[in-house]
Amino acid sequence: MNKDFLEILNGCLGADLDLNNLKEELGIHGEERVEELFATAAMVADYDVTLAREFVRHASFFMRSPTQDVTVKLAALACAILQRQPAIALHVVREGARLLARVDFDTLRVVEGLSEAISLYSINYAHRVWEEAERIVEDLVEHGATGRTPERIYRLALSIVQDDWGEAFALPGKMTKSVINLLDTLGEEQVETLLSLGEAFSSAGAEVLDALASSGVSLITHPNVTPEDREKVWQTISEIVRRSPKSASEVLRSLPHCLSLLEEKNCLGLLGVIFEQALRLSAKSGRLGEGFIRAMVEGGGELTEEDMVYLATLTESIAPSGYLPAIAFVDVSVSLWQSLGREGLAQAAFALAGISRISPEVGVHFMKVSPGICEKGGSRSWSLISRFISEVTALDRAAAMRFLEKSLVLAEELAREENIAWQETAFDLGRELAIINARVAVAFLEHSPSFLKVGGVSVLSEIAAIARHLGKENWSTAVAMLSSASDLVEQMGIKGLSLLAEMAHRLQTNYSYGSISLWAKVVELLEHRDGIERAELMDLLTQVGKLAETNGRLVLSLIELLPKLIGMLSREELTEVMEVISGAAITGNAGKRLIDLSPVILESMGLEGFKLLGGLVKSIYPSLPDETLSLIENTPHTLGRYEAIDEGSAALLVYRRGVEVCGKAPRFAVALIEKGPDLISSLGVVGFEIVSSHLIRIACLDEKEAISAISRDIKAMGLFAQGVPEGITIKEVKPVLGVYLKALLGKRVEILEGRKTFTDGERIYLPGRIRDYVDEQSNFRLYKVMATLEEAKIEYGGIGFSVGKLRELLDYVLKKHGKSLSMEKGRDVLGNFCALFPEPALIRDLVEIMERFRIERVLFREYPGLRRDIGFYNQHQAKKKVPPNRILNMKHRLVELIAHGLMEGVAVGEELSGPLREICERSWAKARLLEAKGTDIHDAVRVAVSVYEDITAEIKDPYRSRHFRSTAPTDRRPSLDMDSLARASQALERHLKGMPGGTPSGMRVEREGGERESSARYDRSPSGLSRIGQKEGRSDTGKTMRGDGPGRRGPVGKDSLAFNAHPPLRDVYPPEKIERILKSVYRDHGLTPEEVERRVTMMMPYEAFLFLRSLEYSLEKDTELMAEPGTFLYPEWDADMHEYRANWVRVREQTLQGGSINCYRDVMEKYRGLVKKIRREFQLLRPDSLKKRKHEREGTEIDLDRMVEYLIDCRLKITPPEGNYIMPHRLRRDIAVSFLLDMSRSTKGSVIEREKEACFIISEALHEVGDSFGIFGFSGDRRDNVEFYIIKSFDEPYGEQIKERISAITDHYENRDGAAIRHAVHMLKKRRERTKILILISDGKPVDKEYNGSYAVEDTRMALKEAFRDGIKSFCITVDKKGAEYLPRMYSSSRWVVMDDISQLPERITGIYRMLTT
Amino acid sequence: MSQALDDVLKNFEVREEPFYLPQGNEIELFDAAYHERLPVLLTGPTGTGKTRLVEYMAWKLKRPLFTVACHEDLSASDLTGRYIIKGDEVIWIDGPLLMAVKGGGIIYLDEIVEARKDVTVVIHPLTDHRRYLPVEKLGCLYRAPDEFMMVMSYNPHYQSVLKELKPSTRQRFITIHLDWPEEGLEVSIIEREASVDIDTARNLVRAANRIRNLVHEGLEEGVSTRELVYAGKLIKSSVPLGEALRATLIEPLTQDGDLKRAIEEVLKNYFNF
Repeated sequence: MNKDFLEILNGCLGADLDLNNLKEELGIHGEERVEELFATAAMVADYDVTLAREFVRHASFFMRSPTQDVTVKLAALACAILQRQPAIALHVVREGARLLARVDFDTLRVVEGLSEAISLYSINYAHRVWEEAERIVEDLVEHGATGRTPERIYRLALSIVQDDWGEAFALPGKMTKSVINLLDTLGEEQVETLLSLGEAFSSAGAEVLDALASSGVSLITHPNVTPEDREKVWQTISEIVRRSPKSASEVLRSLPHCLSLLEEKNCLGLLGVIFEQALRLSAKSGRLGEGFIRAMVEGGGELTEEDMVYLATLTESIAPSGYLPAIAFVDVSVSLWQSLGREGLAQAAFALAGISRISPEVGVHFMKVSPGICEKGGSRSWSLISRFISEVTALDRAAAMRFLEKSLVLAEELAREENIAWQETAFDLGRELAIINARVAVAFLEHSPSFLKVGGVSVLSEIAAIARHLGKENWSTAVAMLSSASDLVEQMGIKGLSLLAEMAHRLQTNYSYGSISLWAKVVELLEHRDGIERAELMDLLTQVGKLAETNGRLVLSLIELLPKLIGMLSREELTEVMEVISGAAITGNAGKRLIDLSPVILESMGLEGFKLLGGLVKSIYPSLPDETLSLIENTPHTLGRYEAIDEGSAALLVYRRGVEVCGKAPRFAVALIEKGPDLISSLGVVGFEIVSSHLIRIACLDEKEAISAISRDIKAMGLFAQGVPEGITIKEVKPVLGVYLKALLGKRVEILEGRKTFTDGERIYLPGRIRDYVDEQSNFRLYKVMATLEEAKIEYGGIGFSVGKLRELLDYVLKKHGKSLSMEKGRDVLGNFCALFPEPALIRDLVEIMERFRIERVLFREYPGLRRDIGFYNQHQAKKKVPPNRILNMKHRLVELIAHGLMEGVAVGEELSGPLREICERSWAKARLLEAKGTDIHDAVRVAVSVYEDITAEIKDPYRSRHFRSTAPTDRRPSLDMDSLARASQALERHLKGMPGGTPSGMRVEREGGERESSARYDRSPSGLSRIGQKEGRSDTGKTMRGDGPGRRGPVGKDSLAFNAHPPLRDVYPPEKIERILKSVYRDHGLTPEEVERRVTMMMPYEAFLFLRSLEYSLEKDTELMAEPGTFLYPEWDADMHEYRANWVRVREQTLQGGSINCYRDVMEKYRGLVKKIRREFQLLRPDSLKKRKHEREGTEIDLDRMVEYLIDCRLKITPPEGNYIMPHRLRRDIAVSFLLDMSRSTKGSVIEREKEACFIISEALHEVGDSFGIFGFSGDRRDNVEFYIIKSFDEPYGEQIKERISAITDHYENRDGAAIRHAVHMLKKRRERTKILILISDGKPVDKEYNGSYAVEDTRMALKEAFRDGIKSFCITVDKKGAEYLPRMYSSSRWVVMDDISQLPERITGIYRMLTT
Repeated sequence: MSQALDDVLKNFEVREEPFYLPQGNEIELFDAAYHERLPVLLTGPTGTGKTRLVEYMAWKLKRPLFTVACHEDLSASDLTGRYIIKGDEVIWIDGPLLMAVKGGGIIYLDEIVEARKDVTVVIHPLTDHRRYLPVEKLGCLYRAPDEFMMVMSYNPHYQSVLKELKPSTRQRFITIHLDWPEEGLEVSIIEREASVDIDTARNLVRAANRIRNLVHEGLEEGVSTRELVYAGKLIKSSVPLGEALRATLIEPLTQDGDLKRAIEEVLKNYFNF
């Protein structure tokens, strides 16, 4: 052997192969072959060294193959593949060498072909092909298969790889199992059969082959099947395969089941017959064949060979009319055979063929229901139906379909013993009708059992006659009539039906839709006609019928509403309403709308209001039709608005005024009514009376002027509005009520303006203005009572309703009403609880009444003096509402009566009697339980539930709420519910993916390790982002394996396109992570998910990505800060860890840049009086400087006391004291004070302005008194950047410069109070004065990045504590009215005050200072 | 002990039992302090019965009581005593503190923070184990008998930072804190002291408790029990209800208009005026 050559080879392949050793080992095969092999390897090395090395490594395997050319061929193959799939090439060499020992090169090529084909879909599986191949070949050879068998198997697999690569991958395994099975039992011949079958079927695709491999073998191995039969089966299947591969695979798969079933029934002999006949049918349709086989196998044992042939012939006869009916026929044939017999079946086939020629769908459907009909109605019904169907199909296919849908029920009904006689009559009539209209006939037959039930055959024919009459012109009316006829006949007799038919007939000429809905509505009416006699009803209907000619629509509306009106009104009232309506009938649409809305109007305003409106409509419609219409349509809304402002009874007043003026000034009347709620709410009832009479007077003279006056702003009404009570506003009462409530409650509650009085425990909402009385005192009384009632809810357990405290009641309610407790957005807990009841509004109102009563009683106990005021308030409230006797809804009236009975100072005006009285009294008695001490809202709910049950047991009508239900004012601080989190995070995720529309279809990409790492390398620049994006994009389309199992889908590229745009973005921020970030951002920064979502959706995806990234950064906690010259580092107290974080905050001190001095001048101007006064006061504050010092050795006066002592001592002969003079002495007060101002963003506006003014004023004052003081401000952003502004240092005199700096005070960023306090303390500590004071002025909670909530409160508290330890007295002035829960803690080592109104700050700061220092 | 001193001491005896309802265990505490010869510091808002407690204890312990209302000109010699010129003689007059020390009485320094700082100089030796009173002018050092007791009162609610007790002083005392009595107790106090019916008393107390919520809201001091007693007395007299309440429970508390109005509304919840 050529040594040089070896060395070259070694050089090529690397030093790790010991070629010499190898050579020796291979020596047994002859040196020549070894050398040739190495030569080949050298050639391979030209292509790829790794491959060549692999080649050499497996050399010993190559040697086992007899000829050299196999080695060369293999090398060539590997090199060829190398170009396309390098990974496969390695396998070819590695596994190929081993395989070659078992199979020939051709087989190897096929295996390679398969693996290469699969590699297009999944590299991983391509590898596995090789791994499995070895085992497969091994198994086959072991069981005695010839060398060609593996090749054929792999060829089969290869043939279907395009179709389904997953199946192709699995096929060799399956085939091998089958082949081995055959080899073991029957021998090679059968294997040949199987494989040839496979080859024959291979064109039909993967599924057939799969089925063959899994089940086909069962036929071959079945011991009791004759070879002829088997042959027939294969023939049939081949035929089916040709026509329908899907059916073929079905047949194949069902083979084992078929065989075992037939064997069980002991008729395996029929197999041949079945398949023979099936073959006949398969020639027409594969699916037909399949269906036939299935049906015959299922029916095997009951049918003879002859029967089967007969059936096949029948089926064949149907086939020309359609394969689907034929298949359907086959499906039901066995069961029909049993019920109809041979003859019947022939008849059925004939009928079916006839039907299917017209409509295959009907045919199919007919077959589907046939067995059912036979079973339920017997063969007689079936033949009647089949006849009818045949006829109807010819007339109307849709009707036939509909009929079939109902046919089962119909057959069952008609087949009842008592109806059997009428069957034929019914169908005869049906057929007669069918000539007029198939649908009418169908409907008639459909309902015929119920007609029979109602009146027997005579009714049947009469109804048929009516239907014919109606159906001639309009079949849908007839159909509608038929569907309600039985009810109507039952209720009103056949006469009533004819009456209605007459009405419908008249209606349908001008309003065909009306005649249809008439029927449904009459039935509805009948259902609700409590207490109305049949005759009376007929009477009413006749009355209504008269209207039919003038206005069809009116009739319908009226009938529709009759049940409601009957429930609401007495007979006489009903007549009155009818009169109004017929009066309005001529107004066409307006009249109709009036009827439609009549229940609402009647309920709100009673009959009187309805009459008013009716009169109004009649009067103005002729001149203003459109306006009238919209006026009516807006009525419910307008009425609702009166209730919304709690002025329910004012509506009547307004309408009365409208009627008054409508004759002379219709347009003005309309305007007045439309504006009514606005006028009432802004002027009050008294004011409205005044203004409206003015306006009406004007309207009679000049309508336009009046209209323009009314449309103007209420305030602009000027002259008219004279004498309208001004009332009192929330702004005026707030200072007093705020303090008042604080006194009652011990904590601050915020008073806000709201549409309804309401409290959530921290805020009390009151109306913005009360003008119900002329005198302010009374209006204030109303305000006070409202506020006190709400306050009492907070104090005496009226809020904080929790279902958990009503376990037993809840169980009871859940059981009784069968709803489950669900939380709905925008509903409070009580609302959720109330939703458990069928009538949530009723229970809610009852709870409110009971709670109100309970609170009232608590208040009487606690505040005896308030009883009068509450009575006054109640009377006032009751006056505004619609009085109970006008309320038409019984439940509503009852609830109102109960409420009145429980309200102090309100009398139940109505004389009560009957059940109403009993319920009321029971309710009042129950309510009295709430007078006990220590009750809370839960007790009120208990009572309410009990009253609810009582009411609903007695009265069935639905409840109309006593309230215009408005939702509670929403909490201004957005709450974080899981929903919003998930929603926002999904939206963000979609956005990041660059597809805002919807979720991506297709699969999820599994995340690979590499992607994660690369995403961690993100820098913040968009360019970096896109760079990585591209890189990832390339790797996606490369050789990455997608999916973790063999999927039945095409190439992956298409799917992956969807997220190729920004694949890394979504991977860095999966939804869980986004959700986590959102949660933390909300917790730490108070940024709501919605807010983030809103911000982000405005951005480009990569911007959004950066934004999220920055949020994430902001959440990361890092370590101590490093020193930086010119700044100060302070620790911060971490309450959770209970220790200081060293060097945590950096304070940057800077002198505030001065601004314009004008600000100073303005302030001095504004507070001229105050400043003057304060200056004087502070001059007096200088007692030390004015005070004369006694006991001085020299001075201007003699100290008399001392003189006396001197003389005494002289007498006593002891040394007298020195210094008997008084010396006026100028002394500095020994005080240093720091003012520390919160200059955070939240102070923007009035707070910072007042701070500025306060600085000027206090500076003026302190300048006067001579105390040394400094003014500092603070703000900042994050812990490494707390800005500390020096506005005036202690040593600087108060002059122009300082004034300029104070002028420049403005809001900046956040406020990290703790750090600022520590720095201020640090500065104060350097002062020599004995008394050191720190005055902090802030607007509330400290807030900075990662500095909020209790963390910030605790740190601030700690900073103040440190100040105290250092002998510095602190005083905090805050304006946070809601701070009740944290201020006492935060300022516990300090004195503090909450300033109600920030505008007091400049005035009060001097007072506070004086109090502090004297 | 001289006859003269005894006579003087008699004048300072509390002869009749003062009305006092204990809020808690203050009597026991006081009693224990007395027997252990410890000085007592009474703290609490104005009008909560600090003075009354001392009077009651003096009566109970049968000790003469020397009450000194401190003010800013009160000096040490005002407490110990001084020489005065009488005719052409110079006579020494004992101050209340010296009298208490000599006679084994209780000295009560009301509102101690108001006094001049040098007062503490004479107090300190009396408040620890030394228990003596140096009188420089006499050149004497008076040892206090076991019966001697020092009591001071101090209201920490004053806002002024200048009027605080130094920690070194405060720590020499046993501190008994008196707060506004709880409702039931205060009602019986008012009922008894003002001789009003129980409903009036209860309404007064309840209203007062509501008003007391306003400390920190601009009210410097809450309504004191004393003021309630006054109010009760006025109500009982012929003064119209509204005026009686205004004169006792509104006007003395604040000058602020809104505050006055709010307090009035609170009172109206309890009284019809």
